[in-house]
Amino acid sequence: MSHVTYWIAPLALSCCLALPAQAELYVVMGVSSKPVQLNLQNIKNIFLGRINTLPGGARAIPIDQHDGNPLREEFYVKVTNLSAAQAKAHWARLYFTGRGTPPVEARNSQDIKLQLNQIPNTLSYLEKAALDSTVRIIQTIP
Amino acid sequence: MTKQRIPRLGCTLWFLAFSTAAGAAEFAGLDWSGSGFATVAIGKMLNGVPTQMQSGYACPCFVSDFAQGGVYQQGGLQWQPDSKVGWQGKASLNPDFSVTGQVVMRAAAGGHVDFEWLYGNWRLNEQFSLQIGRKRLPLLYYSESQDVGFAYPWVHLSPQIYGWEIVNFNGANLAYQGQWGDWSSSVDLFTGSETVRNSNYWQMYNGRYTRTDSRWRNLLGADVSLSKDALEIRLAMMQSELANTNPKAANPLAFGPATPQYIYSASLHYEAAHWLIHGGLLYINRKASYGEDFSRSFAVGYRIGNYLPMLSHNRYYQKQHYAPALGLSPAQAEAHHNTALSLRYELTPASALKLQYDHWQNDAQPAFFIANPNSAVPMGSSSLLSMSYDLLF
Repeated sequence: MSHVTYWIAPLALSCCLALPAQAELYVVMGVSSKPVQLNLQNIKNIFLGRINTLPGGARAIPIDQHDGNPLREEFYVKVTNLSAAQAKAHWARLYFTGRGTPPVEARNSQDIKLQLNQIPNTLSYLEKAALDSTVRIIQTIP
Repeated sequence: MTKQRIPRLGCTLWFLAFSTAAGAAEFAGLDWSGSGFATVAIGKMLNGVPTQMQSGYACPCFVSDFAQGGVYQQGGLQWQPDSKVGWQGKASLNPDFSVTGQVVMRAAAGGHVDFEWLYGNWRLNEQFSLQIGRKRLPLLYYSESQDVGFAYPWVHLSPQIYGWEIVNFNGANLAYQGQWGDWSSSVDLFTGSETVRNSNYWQMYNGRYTRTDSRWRNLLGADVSLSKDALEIRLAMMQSELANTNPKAANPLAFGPATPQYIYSASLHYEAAHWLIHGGLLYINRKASYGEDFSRSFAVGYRIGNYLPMLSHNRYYQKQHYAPALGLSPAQAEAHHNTALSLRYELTPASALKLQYDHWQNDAQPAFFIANPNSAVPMGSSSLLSMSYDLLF
């Protein structure tokens, strides 16, 4: 897998929007959360509202990238085999029937890292350039 | 509690005040969140085969929504049958207790605002929660989200399988969510009752300007939803006592004797990157009153980028075991099927455009319509072209 971090300018969300389609994604939690093991099926189920707990029973709190961010589209296509729009329609069915609340939307990767370390048991996904010592990689998505 | 109708202005203001656009706020010590949905739909009857006059309807007609009285009639473009706007608000007192309300304003109902949902939710633990209040009956895959057009591929759901006189209940629901091996699961056990005054559904059969009330009591049911990879399955069963008033009776507001009904349903939904396959079966046992109802639907679509073309086929038929007692023959039972071609286009991540052609074919014998002279349920065949703009906000 090619490294493309040099494509990503560090300052603005618009640079995230320019992320290439085949970038590697990382499912992450905050270092303050208890370490857990999640496979792709677990992650898919959490982000589609099919399960709401982490292994061990704690409530899982997924966080999405902002609507329209290509990282979000790429995550849903790779992990759920659905487009972000399909996932949104899926969540509309759950939300408006009281069966679940869709993942909270973060403004950008920096915001995600902030929330991961403020709220226990939150998980989200980041591009490689956004990884730092405040997050723990749970799964790599090629 | 009967179906609630409240002044539209007050309700709208109440929800707008506390439901920001897909947002959240804190007020009076409560966490408020809310979101909305809307469907703006227009349709035109292309043709139909008139066989008789129907009381109050310009038929041949196309019934797009039995429960809410959505009927396309002869004439020009019509926007009332499927257009609606709804808001849902949730107030959380703490992480374990919340109150959720949803109001819907339908053009088919003349702009009246109805409470479709209003319930308190107690989270007992991570798997179980108890809900008390007003909810939708969870029978088929899209039963509870029938008003949220953005959630499904069509302009309107299959009237053959989603069309019944009662779609809500007031009562209690014990909900479970968990993992069974490789399958994600959710289970509901529910009980309650519902009374609908001046039923839209029965107006289609008894005449548009007649009044019929419907009551389902001692309702008890369960549904199980299972999902794995791209496949979701829902199985549901329900029983209740049902009773209706009869506009032709000496006392048209008095309920007739209650009789039992048993409803069984199964839904299958497969959705991957390209293929979407959806099917449903519904069986209603009302042998104690008139007989049995059978419905089925099947749809297949293939997503190409932002476009989702689909082909759907839906069928309904009835068996009247008690026909002789009613002065009818078995051939007088209601029966019809519908074939639909539809196209959905994802306009934005939260809005979609849809175009749909429906062809409704009557399968009942002419005797049925002679026996039901006021029925708006289509005589002969009818075709409808409709389109919609669905959005979340």
